[in-house]
Amino acid sequence: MADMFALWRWQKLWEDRMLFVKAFGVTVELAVGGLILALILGFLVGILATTSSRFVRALTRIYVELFRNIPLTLQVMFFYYGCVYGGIKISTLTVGIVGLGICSGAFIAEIVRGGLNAVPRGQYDAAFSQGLNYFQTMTRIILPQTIKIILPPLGTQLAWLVLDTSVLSIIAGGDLLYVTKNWACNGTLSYGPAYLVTGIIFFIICFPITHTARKYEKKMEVGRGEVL
Amino acid sequence: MEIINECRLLFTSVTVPTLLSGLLLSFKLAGGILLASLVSGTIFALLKTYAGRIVGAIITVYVEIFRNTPILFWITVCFIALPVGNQYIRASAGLFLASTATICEIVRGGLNSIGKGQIEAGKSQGLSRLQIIYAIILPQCLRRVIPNLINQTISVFKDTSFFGQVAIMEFLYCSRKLLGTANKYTGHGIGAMDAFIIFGAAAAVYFIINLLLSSVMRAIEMHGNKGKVVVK
Repeated sequence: MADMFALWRWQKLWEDRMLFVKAFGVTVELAVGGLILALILGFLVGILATTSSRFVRALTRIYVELFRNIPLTLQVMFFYYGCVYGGIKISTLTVGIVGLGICSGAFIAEIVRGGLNAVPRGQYDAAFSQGLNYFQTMTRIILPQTIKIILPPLGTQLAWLVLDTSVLSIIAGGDLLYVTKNWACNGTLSYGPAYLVTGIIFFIICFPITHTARKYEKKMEVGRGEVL
Repeated sequence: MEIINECRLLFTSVTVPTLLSGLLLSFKLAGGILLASLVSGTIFALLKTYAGRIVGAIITVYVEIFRNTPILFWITVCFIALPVGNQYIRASAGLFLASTATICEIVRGGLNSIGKGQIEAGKSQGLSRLQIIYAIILPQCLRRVIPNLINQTISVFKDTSFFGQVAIMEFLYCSRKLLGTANKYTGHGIGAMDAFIIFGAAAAVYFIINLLLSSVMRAIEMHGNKGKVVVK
């Protein structure tokens, strides 16, 4: 066990540090790209899920259920191998961003839908009575209130998105976990330092997000209690 | 028509049993991990809530570490680092540890939602601490968190798809392998259609199973609400 973390292994890791820095960059790119796509999709679908059209609501339901109930691993493979065997040249980064974005979008859509439903009906009526149209009502009255409610679960979702970038290692995505595994497997078998560092990096990114989300959530609960 | 023909070539009496045995393995692993982590997660939650500061702090650290690092990471690390057990146990350990952390948080939420009056009522009846936990708190708590636990069941079942990464022959691993050797069965090169058929079938299986699980959850939730008396 002590040999696993021997000094020379750490030195080896330090020599190859640029590999890890680059992989970290890929993971960040995946997370940021995925997040942007997920937010756009999530808000769009979440809002559509509260419209009066039954057909539109059914479509949003299908999207949400489909992508929440199928493993992300499988979604990524489906997309990747579909393209590879279909002769379409596609980078693993694109596969990752699209895969993470669509999957996370389904989760965010549910969060947004929940948030929209939590805004009292009277707010809509009040806005309409002031002569605002649907778009104005949404952007000025409803969404600002919704965002306040859904911020904590969105934070948790963001942390999950960062963790889920590791799924890309399955299709050799060049992300942090993939590089860690590859580097450790090749030659020196220095699993110890490589995995320890990677684990710490993930923790340092995700812990502040989940911690803040939980704190904010608790604060909101207290706030709500005072009003009631 | 071409698709049906391709399906017939791909899903034969040779390939389907392999896929099914993979699915069965996924079930077994998910079930075992779930049961084990339900027990350990509940114990951790009880310790965190009732066993004093130091134990609570240690469990908090454990939970935070496992909830803020990827599950695939832990599966790989445990698979490599564990000195004992066969490949299944070593692979399952990572998911078990992560699932324990999640279930601990779920059950803790349930414990916190139970009113102080319940404990006081138990004490006034002369029950010991263990009896109060076992007979009064836990049954109410677990009933309340059933929906979250079923969500966790779905998560764990989905996460068994990571096991292919450490060469466990679970369902997705078998599907992927079938795709890799598809030309053996179809007689021509592997095309996009093969990928769509095989992964589409796998997706359908995951989808149906998880949908069943979540409808069970909804049914239980409805059932629970029907009998519930709201005390204010």
